[in-house]
Amino acid sequence: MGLGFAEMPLALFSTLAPMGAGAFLVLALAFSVGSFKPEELKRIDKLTLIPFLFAVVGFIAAFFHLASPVHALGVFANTGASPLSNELVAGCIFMVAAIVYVILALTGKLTGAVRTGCAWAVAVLGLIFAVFTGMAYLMDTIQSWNTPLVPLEMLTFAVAGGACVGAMTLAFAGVSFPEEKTLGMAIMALTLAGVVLGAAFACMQTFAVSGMENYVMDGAAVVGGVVMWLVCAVVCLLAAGAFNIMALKGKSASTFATVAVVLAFAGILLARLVFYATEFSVGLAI
Amino acid sequence: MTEYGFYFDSTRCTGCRTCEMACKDYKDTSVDFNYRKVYDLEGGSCSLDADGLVQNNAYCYHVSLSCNHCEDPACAKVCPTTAMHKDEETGLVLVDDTKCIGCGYCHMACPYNAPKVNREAGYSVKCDGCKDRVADGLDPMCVTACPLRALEFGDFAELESRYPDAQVGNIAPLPEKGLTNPHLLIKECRDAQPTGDMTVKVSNTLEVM
Amino acid sequence: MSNQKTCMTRRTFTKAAGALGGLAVVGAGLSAEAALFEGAVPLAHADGEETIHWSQCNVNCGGNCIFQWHSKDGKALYMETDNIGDPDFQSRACLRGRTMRRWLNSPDRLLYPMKRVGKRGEGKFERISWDEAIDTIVDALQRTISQYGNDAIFTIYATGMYSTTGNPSQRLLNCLGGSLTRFYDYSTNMMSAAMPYMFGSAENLTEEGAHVTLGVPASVYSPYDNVNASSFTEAEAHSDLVVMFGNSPAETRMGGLNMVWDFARVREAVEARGGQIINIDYRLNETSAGYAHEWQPIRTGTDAALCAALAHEWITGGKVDKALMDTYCVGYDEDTMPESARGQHKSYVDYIMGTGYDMVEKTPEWAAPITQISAERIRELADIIASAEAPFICQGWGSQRHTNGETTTRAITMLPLLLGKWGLPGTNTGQREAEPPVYLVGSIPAGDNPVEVSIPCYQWANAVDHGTQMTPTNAGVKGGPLTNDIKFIWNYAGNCITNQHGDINMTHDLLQDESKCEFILVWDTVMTDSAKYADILLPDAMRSEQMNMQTQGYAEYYTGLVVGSAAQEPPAECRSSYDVMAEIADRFGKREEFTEGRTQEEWIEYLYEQGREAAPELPSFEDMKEQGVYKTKLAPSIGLEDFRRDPAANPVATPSGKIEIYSETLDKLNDEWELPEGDVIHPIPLFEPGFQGYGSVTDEYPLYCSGFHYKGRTHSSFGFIPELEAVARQQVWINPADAEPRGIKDRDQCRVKSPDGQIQIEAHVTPRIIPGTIGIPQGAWHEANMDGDRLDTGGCVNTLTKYRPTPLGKGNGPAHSMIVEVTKA
Repeated sequence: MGLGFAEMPLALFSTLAPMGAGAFLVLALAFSVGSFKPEELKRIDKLTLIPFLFAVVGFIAAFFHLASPVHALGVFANTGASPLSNELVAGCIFMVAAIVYVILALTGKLTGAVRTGCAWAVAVLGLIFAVFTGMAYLMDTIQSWNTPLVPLEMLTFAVAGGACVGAMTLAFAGVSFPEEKTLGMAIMALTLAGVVLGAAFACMQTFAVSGMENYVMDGAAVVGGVVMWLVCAVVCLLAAGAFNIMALKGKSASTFATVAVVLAFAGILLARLVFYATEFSVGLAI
Repeated sequence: MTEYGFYFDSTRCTGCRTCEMACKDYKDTSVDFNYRKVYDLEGGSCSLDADGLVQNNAYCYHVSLSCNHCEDPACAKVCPTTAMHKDEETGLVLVDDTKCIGCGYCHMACPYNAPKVNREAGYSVKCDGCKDRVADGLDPMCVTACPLRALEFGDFAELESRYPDAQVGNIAPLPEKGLTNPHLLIKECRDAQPTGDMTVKVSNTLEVM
Repeated sequence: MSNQKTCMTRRTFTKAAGALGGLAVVGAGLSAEAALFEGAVPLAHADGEETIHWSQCNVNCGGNCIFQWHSKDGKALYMETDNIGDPDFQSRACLRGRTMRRWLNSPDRLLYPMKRVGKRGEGKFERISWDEAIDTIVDALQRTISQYGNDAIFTIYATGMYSTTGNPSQRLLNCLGGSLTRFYDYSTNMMSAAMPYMFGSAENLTEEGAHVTLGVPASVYSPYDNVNASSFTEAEAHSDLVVMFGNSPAETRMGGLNMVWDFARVREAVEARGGQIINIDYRLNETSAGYAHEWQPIRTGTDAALCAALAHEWITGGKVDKALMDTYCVGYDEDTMPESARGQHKSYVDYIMGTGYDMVEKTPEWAAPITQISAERIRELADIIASAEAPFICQGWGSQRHTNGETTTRAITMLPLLLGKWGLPGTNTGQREAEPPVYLVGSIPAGDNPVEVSIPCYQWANAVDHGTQMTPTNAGVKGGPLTNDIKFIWNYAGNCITNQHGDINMTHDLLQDESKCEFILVWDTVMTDSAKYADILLPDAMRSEQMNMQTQGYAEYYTGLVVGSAAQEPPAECRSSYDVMAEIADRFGKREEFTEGRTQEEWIEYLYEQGREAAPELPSFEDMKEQGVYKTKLAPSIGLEDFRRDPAANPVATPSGKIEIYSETLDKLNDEWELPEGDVIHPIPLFEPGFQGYGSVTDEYPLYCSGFHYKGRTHSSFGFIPELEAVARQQVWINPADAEPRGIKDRDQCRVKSPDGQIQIEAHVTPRIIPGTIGIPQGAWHEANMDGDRLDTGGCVNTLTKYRPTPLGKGNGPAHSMIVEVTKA
């Protein structure tokens, strides 16, 4: 037993896309509570490319998971019944919104309340997408995944990762967090909630597997094979939170936030690999 | 509309794997993947008492499984493209390879370890009930292969009426039958343990990957 | 040629290129060639013109199951098995047969004649032409014959080819003046040697088949007939109990008309009558899968101790009809002892009651620690068997394949004798279930062999080493002492040079000395371990690649025949062995004598027509070629039924005409033969531990070890097919009670070490084996660095066996009698 490296494309997808989606929440928050100068807003708008690219790279990674990507347009055929179709519908709605938002942002078409409203719209769609990503794994034949902890995990990863990516984006745009106290506090709160709850949900979901059994696998052995990796994931996530909070306190914000993003990426990716490694059927799927 | 299914007489099965190999030859699958698999089950113990004499209640039995062409197939339910579908004429669960994206959700969802993505081919592969043979009035290859005549194939309702003592598969290592309502009728051998009894284990997991 | 091209796989092409380039080291690895059959898209079976070709499985499980090939464009597409007529009467191939296409197209096929360029056993060969190969063989034959004589040529035991025209080796050698031959076989060596002394031997018959002293026809023991044993169909019809010792048809006779199918119906019929099956084995074999209550665990090699204790219970419990024993048997008690043994307490009852031999009463309490079965359970078994109306008591060939097999096999037959439950409906003689009496056609006749001397089959390695010292009394040689060591080994379709013989490490050293055996010819389809010892290695065509004809096998109780044609052409330079042998004969000016002017195809027609004279119900040859398959059912048989009905008119061919529980002949042999220290030929069927048997374990080797037949292979045949290995892994069976103290978990790699060698093998920790004994599936392919540590990573059981022929039959008893230690690798 070990990590689910075979599922690396999926793990990358479910790490990067929610991080990007979550970052839009930070942007929406920023526009709601921050008071930026026009140049700052211009820079932020340009750097919207960062969260967007996270999401895009995530979706591209997903294609590598498919054996026949050329048929990918067919994935909406079973919308409603297939949780995977539903996820991808949610993902596409979010991506379309994000693309529109980014085009508007880059072309300087966003102003005032429109920017804030659009950012909130994309952020909410992003979080819905994250939840649907988790829900795609809810199948009554896979006991280890069939729990609300899974969508909650995806939601909190989106928030945790998004808080780091968002903070980094704002820092690159020259936003001074000490000057934007409310915003800083808000992002800190998101960061803290994201990493702590995300780590907690991942641990709860993983350790529940140790009590599971079927006729071909032993849950305790499966968990035993990944527990070190899960610890690494939790450490990375908590460290990401700590660095992000330091960034938000104003200390070399760009550097600390970047480190936080790297750590968040590592932590979430490990957690996702652990997740795939703990697939545990009610039956015989090996 | 017919709903095809399998009948498996576990009182006859010796775990010989002939069904597996006959299918493999006909379907020409790679060395590491079979559409039909034979699960070895073991339980109980054989130990010595204080006098060094044997105390024995060990047991073993076998279950031969392919796709069960379920009434409510978990694989088709999760398939995003509807490539995995239940054929309207025969009830066979089939893969439309012109639609399949090879995402592997069917493999994850199926509790019978039936479909698997063939990455070279680009789509999911699984037992198709030898639909071409069946259309020609023949039995699936595994059924005609069994040296113990432990497998049958046919309209599931007819099988149920022909074998009133057999049960829809609900013995270890099968999952609870209600999950997918498999079209698999089993005549249970004496040593078969009910689904949910976890004192018995599949003893050949490396042979059924 | 275009057909041959399509046969070429990537790997065979590479190998061929390597061979062309000079040195080709082949057979070193049997790695799974997943790419070979990675059918990205399933073959379009429905398209194009398919042709049907029949053939059959030709290996030695005793079944000749039927193949129906579907070919297209000169290539076998896939196989169906016998699909003719009643589904319950179809000779369906087992898992192994169903992989025959993988064998035909195997990347490991030998494609060209080769000569050895390394040391013997290294597996280094160089491609040569057929002309050079035949020249070399002819030279070696001529040199051996002129320098030593024909008796220095030996056709080694080989069973990879059961087909009417498949192996005319002996015919060819007989044309050249004969060769040293062998008797007994590796399957039934100990019973074939010992049972005739109890149930009849051809040595007590005149040439006309009459008993030498009684003057009436008498029956001779054979493990391959339906005279001495009852058929499973008889058990199905009338038995209310089946007791099996060391018999697992589900692993040995696995085809759809093999004994496993007959046995399934036996169980259903016996259970319907309220009866039961008792399956006595050291492991819960597949025959009782799903019916574990049938399993009576017993320590390996102690069946005779259980039999003695059962006999004790019946003798003391008044279950034995003494009048019946006196009528049919010699040596039950003092009353029927031969003159030479009178008054010496040498009867069977004396042995059982402790008044003779070891002077120990064979109570259940005596047997319990030996067999690991409680006295209480032994008494229960005694009651169950004695209460049956029609018990079918039988033994497989596992019980006798021990160092004490010569007494064990006879001890089991005592059970029905004591109860008088033999020769009657539903009963059996304690021997293996009956085999078919009719084979519709014969093989190409071998002709007469001018060499009269012959050796027990397992003695060949001794005959290579010191043949000239071997005599009838010190080595069981027949026809006089050997005047030559074996100098030329002729091995057609066999793997008994190393893999299936005893003590591979010893044999390797013996054969590396080229001054002993000077020439080894091997003929095969893949690089077996034995093939690595060839001086000349010839690539054979498979039967499915040429016209073929074969009857039903010996392990299926029906009468049948297949006449078939090539499903695809042989690859590269593989040739039919008949044609090659005809060419060798030609070099000696003996082509006409060898072929009688017939091609192989003409021989098939000739043999068929001969068979049809005796069985006019057979269709015309043209019709037979068209229909491919002919089958008829056989009536059930009851073993020794005629003898039971009228013993005076139908005696058994022992000196007395009765069943000789006490054999005066054996007693004499024990005195006359020069036996190795510790070996005894016992006149009665008693329990003896045997070499490396009960009581022989040590601190260094604390576990007993037995081989067993495994579904993935027929002996070593099919042992190179990765598809089979993937679903039937080579694993040592070990009980948790033995595994846990050694820190061994299921699927761990382990080392198994005997006094003679060491293997590496995966563990199967399972309650399906009795504690104190481990089981290793026999036939796995030996794989070791013979110039290094000799650790056999292939897991071949014969790396562990001692080469120590049994006392009487000089046979392979150590195959199931080993002592070992197991450690985690």
